[in-house]
Amino acid sequence: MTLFLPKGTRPPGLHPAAPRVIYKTVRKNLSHESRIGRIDRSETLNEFHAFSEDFHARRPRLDPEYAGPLHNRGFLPDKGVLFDLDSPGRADQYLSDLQARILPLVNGTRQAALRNRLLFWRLHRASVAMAELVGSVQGGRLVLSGEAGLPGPFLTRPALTSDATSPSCHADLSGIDRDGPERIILRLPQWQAGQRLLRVAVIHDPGTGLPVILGATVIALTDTLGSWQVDGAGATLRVAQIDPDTGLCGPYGAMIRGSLSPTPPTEPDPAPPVANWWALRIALTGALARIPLLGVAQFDILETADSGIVLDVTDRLDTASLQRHGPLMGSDAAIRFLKEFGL
Amino acid sequence: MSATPTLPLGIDHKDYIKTLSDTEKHFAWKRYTDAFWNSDPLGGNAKAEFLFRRGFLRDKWVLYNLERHDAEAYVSDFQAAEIRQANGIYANVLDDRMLLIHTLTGYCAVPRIHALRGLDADEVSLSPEWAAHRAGRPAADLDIQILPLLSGLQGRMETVALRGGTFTGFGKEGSIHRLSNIVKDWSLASRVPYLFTDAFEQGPFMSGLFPGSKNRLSVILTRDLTSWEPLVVAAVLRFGSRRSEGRLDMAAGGMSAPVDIQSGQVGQLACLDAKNRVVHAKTHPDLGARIAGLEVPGWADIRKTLLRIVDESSYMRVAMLDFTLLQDGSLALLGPSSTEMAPYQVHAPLLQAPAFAEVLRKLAL
Repeated sequence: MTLFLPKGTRPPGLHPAAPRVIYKTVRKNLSHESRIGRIDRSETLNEFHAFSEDFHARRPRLDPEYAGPLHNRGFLPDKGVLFDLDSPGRADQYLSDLQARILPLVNGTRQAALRNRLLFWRLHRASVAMAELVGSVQGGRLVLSGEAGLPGPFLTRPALTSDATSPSCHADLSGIDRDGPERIILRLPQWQAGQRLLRVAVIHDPGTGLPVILGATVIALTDTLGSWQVDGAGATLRVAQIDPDTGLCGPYGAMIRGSLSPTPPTEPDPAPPVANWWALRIALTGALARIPLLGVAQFDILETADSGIVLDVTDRLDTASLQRHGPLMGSDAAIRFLKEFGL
Repeated sequence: MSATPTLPLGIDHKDYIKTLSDTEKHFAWKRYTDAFWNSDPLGGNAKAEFLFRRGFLRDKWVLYNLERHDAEAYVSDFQAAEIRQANGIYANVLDDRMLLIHTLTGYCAVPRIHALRGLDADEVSLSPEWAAHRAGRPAADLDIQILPLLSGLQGRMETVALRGGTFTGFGKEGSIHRLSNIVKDWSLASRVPYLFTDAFEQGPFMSGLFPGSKNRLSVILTRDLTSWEPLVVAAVLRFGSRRSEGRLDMAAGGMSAPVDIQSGQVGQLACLDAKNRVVHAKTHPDLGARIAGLEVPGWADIRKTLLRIVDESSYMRVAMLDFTLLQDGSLALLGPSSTEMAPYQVHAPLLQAPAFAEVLRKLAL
């Protein structure tokens, strides 16, 4: 398995790197079309094909006049509206859906832990403050790791991060469907009014050799049906951007996942800042230091009085919620990252 | 060839090798051919072509008594080498000792990780005790095991005692700094990163088998692909002898005794004698210690733990692991097993277990 490592830094314990880049990047040209034009390896070709199938399967169909430019830049239909991608120059600063599919390859041999949530929980439960994993659903069976009879609520999520099935929430274990693809079962803390979820995307900065927060958004959680709001196609999310340096938030803006209707307007006032942002950052950086070299990862952290509880880790960045208020790939670190890994 | 009827659940090895089709498998087959000509026929009337066409190494004619037994019921050496591929991208979890230690924390005792020496990087302290020894501060005495980070790669394995910043072991002694440099040379010579962990002291049951070697309980774990239930395919106790000078591999004179999966009862040991014949015995030939009829202490709990490990790790298709039992009888992880099947199959062919044969077939091994 090829290992992607930046030049110059050689973290301990890893093999010498095989070919490092995903495909060659011409230094000056970081546009989406040129990227797609350069796709030539089997893994990336597979992802492009899968993206294309996904694009054409979405309904309602887009007008070919709009569909063409979006498809050829790697964006799914709803992103045209969400990111307001009328002018071509604007699109290049955004992380496209195709890029989000290819990014996991940057993690090289460490992909396995980020690709499978069950494995990630097992490996890192000592280093990262995570929600309790009580068991999993596999092969038609419910496998519990701890004691039975614990009170909920419980969240089930696909074990594989590439599985896009939406998570679902259950008041107790008996409500969980035994069939279907493999899922992990997490025990959630009791929902409290005003609780928020922080979605933090982290990438490896080749310049410093350290993980850096690419972007962070806060998602307001609403207590629907007396349990946790769960994400999925058609769901409405209220998100605000977090400034990674200060923890201050921008205003909330709503978005409807996968929708082609116009994006609702942004609210006028800024959202409340993240409580204990620095404690959370220090905890996260500490955790990342104990996890071997990460190319890219996204953490969903429940905002708490201390430094947060990690509810999800994945290698598939959620481009929609992270970029509702602005593009991710404009910063210097992001550009260094793109150039280094050939994305 | 034997006169016994073909087992319906075995694998037609000759056909399997003949019809290998993808590049990875061809590479694996090429590695197998190298290994084949380097393997020792053990003086047996080795039918080289027969073995070669079926993916067995030359020593297996004697070890499995293929004169009398049907080769189709045995896992071939070619298949055994491919078993790690069965786990796909998760193969690393079993190969990388650090990852394995992290994954099995909480199920059984695992060695503490003290330091990691990468290939071109400096050594990294991963425990406060090691850092204290390094800095010359007062620190707890440690028994350290030094091994390659990735199992399956050739490299020196040694144990040292670390007392107050000075090490003693493998015939040398000196400062921890000197140890670092020595390991750096090993690591550069074999192109392998090295890991420093705790060395477990084996408990009375394990040392009773043969005190002069670090003995192991080796198990093969998998899942029944129809019922999805976890499964212990086989378990053996591996221990040394005077002839093997403490080594466990059978070619050197190491011994293996089967453990009954349900009861934990130990069966007769098997080993190669000085004339390279397979002998079975109830007691250890060197010390007379009773082997057959022993019961592995706490087997019911050990079995439960092993099944739990598989059950809660759905990404592991086939796992081959080595354990020991500590002073207090608890199960402790030593690391991944080598994929050599002789210690298991010298007693009974593994493909007789329909579930395991099915797993190998489904995973196209």
